[in-house]
Amino acid sequence: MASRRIDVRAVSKDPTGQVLRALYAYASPDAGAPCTIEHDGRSIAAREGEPIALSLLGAGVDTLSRSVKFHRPRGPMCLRGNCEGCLVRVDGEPNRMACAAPARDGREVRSQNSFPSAQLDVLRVTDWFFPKQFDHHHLMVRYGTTINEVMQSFARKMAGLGTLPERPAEAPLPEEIDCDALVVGLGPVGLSVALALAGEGLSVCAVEEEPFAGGLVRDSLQWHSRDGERLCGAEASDRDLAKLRAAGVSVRLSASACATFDDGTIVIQSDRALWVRAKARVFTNGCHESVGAFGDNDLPGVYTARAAARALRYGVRVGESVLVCGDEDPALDALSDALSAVGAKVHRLTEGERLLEATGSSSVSGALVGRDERSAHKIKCDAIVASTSRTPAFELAGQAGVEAAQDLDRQCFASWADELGRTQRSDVFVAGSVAHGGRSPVRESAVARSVRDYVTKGRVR
Amino acid sequence: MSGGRYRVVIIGAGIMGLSTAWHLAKAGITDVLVVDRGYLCGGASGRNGGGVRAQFSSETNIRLMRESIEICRNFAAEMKINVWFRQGGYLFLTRTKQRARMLEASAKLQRDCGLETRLLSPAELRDIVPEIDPTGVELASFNPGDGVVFPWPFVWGYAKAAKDRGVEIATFTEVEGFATKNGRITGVRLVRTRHDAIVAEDRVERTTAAGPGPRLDPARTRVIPDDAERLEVECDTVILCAGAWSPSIAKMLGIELPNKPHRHEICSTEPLKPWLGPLVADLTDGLYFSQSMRGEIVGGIAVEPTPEGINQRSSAQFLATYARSLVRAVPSLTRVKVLRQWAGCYDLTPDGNPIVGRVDGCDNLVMACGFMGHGFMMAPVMGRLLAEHVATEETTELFARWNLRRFREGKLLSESMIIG
Amino acid sequence: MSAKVLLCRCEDVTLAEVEHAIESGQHDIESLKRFTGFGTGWCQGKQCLIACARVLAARVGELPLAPVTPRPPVHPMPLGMLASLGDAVSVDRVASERASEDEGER
Ligand SMILES: Cc1cc2nc3c(=O)[nH]c(=O)nc-3n(C[C@H](O)[C@H](O)[C@H](O)COP(=O)(O)OP(=O)(O)OC[C@H]3O[C@@H](n4cnc5c(N)ncnc54)[C@H](O)[C@@H]3O)c2cc1C
Ligand code: FES
Repeated sequence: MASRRIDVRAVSKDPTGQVLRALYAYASPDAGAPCTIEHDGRSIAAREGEPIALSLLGAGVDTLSRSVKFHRPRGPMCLRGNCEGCLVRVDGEPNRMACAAPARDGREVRSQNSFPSAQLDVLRVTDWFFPKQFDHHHLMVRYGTTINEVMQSFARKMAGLGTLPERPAEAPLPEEIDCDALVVGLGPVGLSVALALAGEGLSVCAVEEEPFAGGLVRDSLQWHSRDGERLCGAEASDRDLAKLRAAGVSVRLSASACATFDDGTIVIQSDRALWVRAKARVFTNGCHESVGAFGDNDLPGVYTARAAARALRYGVRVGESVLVCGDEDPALDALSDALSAVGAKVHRLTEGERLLEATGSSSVSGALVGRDERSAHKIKCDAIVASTSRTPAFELAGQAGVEAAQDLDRQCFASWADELGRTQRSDVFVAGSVAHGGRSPVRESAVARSVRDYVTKGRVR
Repeated sequence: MSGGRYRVVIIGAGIMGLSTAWHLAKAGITDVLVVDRGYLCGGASGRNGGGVRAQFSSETNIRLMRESIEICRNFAAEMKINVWFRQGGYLFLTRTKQRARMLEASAKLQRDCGLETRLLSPAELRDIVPEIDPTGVELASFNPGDGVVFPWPFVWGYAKAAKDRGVEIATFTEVEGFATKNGRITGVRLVRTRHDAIVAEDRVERTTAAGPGPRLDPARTRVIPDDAERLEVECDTVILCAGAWSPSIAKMLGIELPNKPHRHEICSTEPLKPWLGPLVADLTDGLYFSQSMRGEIVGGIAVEPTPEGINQRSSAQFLATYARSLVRAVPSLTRVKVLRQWAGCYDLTPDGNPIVGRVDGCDNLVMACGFMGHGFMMAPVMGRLLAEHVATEETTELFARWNLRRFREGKLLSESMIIG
Repeated sequence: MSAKVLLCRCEDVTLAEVEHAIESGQHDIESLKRFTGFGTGWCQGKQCLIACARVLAARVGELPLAPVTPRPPVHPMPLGMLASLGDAVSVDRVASERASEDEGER
């Protein structure tokens, strides 16, 4: 398990300097102090505050757990809280997402649902025993009640991921927040809508589930211009965030809007619950990402493009030899360049080729690519970056009562809203890529005005 | 199905309707149509906690549920689909002296009916679930034969077996009205619905009609396009098994039912390795929870006041009330996470007992509604009794007692062991 | 190729299983979800809903008109924190204000 930490001094082939700049958070002097976490009894060098998943990946550990039925190996895939690949037990708490749990000195991380370890789990036989699917509806129904009952008691023992925590934990008292507008999601659209809302004189609370603002811009590896300066994604996002704070917006980072109801929204910020009563709710929470459908697409070492870029920002390269492929996506070129710059060997597909299968036993050791199965050939690699189209995260707005409907252009579901961000619910607004049709470019100021009209006049029009 | 004539039309493909259809088919009556406005498991039958128990306070319920437990035990082998019935027992808790006396009386009755119910002191309680905090518990009762099923395959099992014997099941087909003549139903008017119309009901009562997209009729909160396919079927007998929607359908026939839909919420957590044997139910605040075969803690609680009407949205009040009561009972659950919350409707009658049997003034209508927190476990037996009733036209003592006319006559019944 | 294509990682639902379920009559997204169990695990559908809906679309001709009902929470919430919310959420202030505001528009 070779270290995958990037040595910033060894970065080469970076003519515009953009990779080094993207690594700025990692290389900057105030990036987390060195610390040590414990993983399945082994000490791992980490940096205070970085996601545990990246501490482990940095140390070459990419297989973190086993899947619920087949005991297939699993590892981080999205690095942003959208999958189950990184679930581990942290300090006695089952099922924590290692990509969202910050490293702290002495934290104890354990893999779950595996015997004897996540790397080598003998229960993997289930995967081979059921080569196509696990038909739990008809398992052992043919041999009478007694045998069926034996199967059931075995199945019960196999079920479940973590085990019950040994000790209860005290939850701090919740915080109650009253405001004119709650903005959920501080990607580029959320940042500017929130700023425009503050400009309209409204009291605004803005929540972002990541420990930083900026969304896709933050994870991008391109240059961004702000106030006539050329900045990397992280710098540009921090600049935007500073403006938001200066405008008086109450900004909450590491704060997930988990559930929204007519009378308020439950936000979980680190270890505390917030109950936010807002006159208007604005959802700018963007999209989910996935890797798409190919053989063994769940193997540890398969990442979304966003995840690979994020790992770089934390000074970790996802592999030494990486296949980068997927839908037409300009970000992929920047990602490939950056991976080369930090010393990884990068493979790309040629015209007409596609990724057919990831290969490897407990994590990626290669990829099968080709035009079809007959012409398939194997590439040796230890990571695969597979990008697919992003799909709107309509769920929160949906809970608030906003209809999600077919978006045939993008072949997905998206929240219905007009160009002013208005929805079927007078108190709920939606903007950015989560909205139907994508609505880009969004007129953030127009969205902010419709929110203001509702809040001040109690109606949309 | 394209019009035509059926001996029996069953309204509602929930567990009640499908169990009845299967028992009719088994008795040789296969000329049966079951219609449902949505997909299978869309009603309460797909939204419940799957609890099956014989610990009740009335002899009728105890005896019916004993039979139900037997059916659940053999369901997988007989119907060829796993329903994951697990007999971990039901553990009832009480926190007041008065309820403790009630529990004692019920336990005695249950033992007289042949159950193995035992009463437990707060200390003994921990022999069954060591993680429970017994503080404040007055008395508990435990019957090891009670258990939990996974509701969905139960519904599919009946549906498939009924279909295999010739019953027709039409989903996404809603009853819009009836044709009647001389106090009899001669035909049922149907309209084809759409998936987005059905899920809309879970989503919202719309306040304003701003924005694009199809508009919902605010009164009914769903879309039925004008050009939807409509048809009428003729029939000899109609069985109304539409759960919480039954009063609105009876109304189409001019029949006022006393039952009212009430939202009941429920949620489940992340899956954990097995640690909890029984379903635990606290009779004082209506909390109940069990561990599913997949390892999730599934449970709910009564929240006051519950809105009346079909409302399947979720509330923060439920989450907070449930969580508070649950972590009081099992403190080590504080760090366990809720993965999903949803809601269904109880079909609440004034006396907590169902409405079953013929309806005075509408000769060929048979009712099977008014079920609340234990309607699922009732269905395997009720289906058999209803099918016998339709096949033989004989009225049993039970059907006479549970008839709609008791409300007119003021003869309300009682059942005190109701949770949620 | 013997590799599995995972459509729902959380519940180990394969492409083969989804195709088989569609063939056996699960032609709407709600039924397909319940029958295969996709979307009922840790991520509650963030990864798999669209993947399964597209497979369904390929078989029945069109993407479903609507997704399955989105339910709270979008991220798992610890019971202890929810319990702590008790008093805060029982006040129904904003909702009642809003109800009276919307009254005039019906
Ligand atoms: C949260 C919750 C937890 C519960 N827990 C338990 C438990 O642990 N144990 C237990 O035994 N019971 C429990 N119950 C109760 C149980 O689920 C119900 O009593 C039972 O499922 C009722 O079955 P049903 O077939 O009568 O009604 P439903 O399953 O509601 O079926 C009625 C059907 O009628 C259809 N319909 C409605 N209108 C029309 C129309 N116009 N045309 C055609 N079709 C129509 C609906 O779509 C629906 O599918 C619970 C209920 C809830 C809500
Ligand atoms: S949720 Fe942590 S990697 Fe996807």
